[in-house]
Amino acid sequence: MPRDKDHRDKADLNAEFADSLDLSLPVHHGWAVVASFYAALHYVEYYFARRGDQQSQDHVERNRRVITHLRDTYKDYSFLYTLSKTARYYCSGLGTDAYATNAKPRLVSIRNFIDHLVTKESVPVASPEAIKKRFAPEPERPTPGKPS
Amino acid sequence: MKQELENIQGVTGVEIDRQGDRYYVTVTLQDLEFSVFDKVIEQELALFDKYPNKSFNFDIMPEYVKASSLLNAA
Repeated sequence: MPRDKDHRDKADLNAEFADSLDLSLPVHHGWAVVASFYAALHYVEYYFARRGDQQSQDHVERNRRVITHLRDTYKDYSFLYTLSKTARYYCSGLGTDAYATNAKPRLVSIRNFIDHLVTKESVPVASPEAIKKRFAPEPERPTPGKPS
Repeated sequence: MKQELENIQGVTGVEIDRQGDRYYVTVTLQDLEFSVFDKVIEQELALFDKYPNKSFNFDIMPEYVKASSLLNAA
């Protein structure tokens, strides 16, 4: 199971990748939005890993966890998910400034919130024993809908 | 739930597919405008709190995406 540092590193790398892209190229623009969402995903998994939680199995489970434990970030997280889905699956829909005006500010907000929470709560890095203790079988979750 | 979502200005369509205790909610927005998106998520959070034993899976998309999906399906 990935540990908190693995998720944090992956999140930072995705955020750096998004920032490194030449946004004058349309294809880069979409991937900057996609990378922003995956950075956000790994920031929230970083927080869950520090709690000793197992990695979320799918988007539905992760959304429930974000609502439960990181509710103040859920709107930003969900919006990034929708932007990312639009960038990946559809041929139009993102404005040319979607990364700068929508994606990046929300990613920064999520990262800052989690950093603040980690500092405030001093969430301990979970030991393998604590992880095992916290583990309980999750109820069956619906398969996330896929765009047609 | 459907009417409350439809009453949000900027929401152009709501479809709900219920499978037992699971609800798949597709919400179409005129545009990917965060101020509208925000109001839809407020409804999702309210449902999450009100019905903790049910599962609500929201799929929010802009209208042009919905339109292109329909064209592709035709």
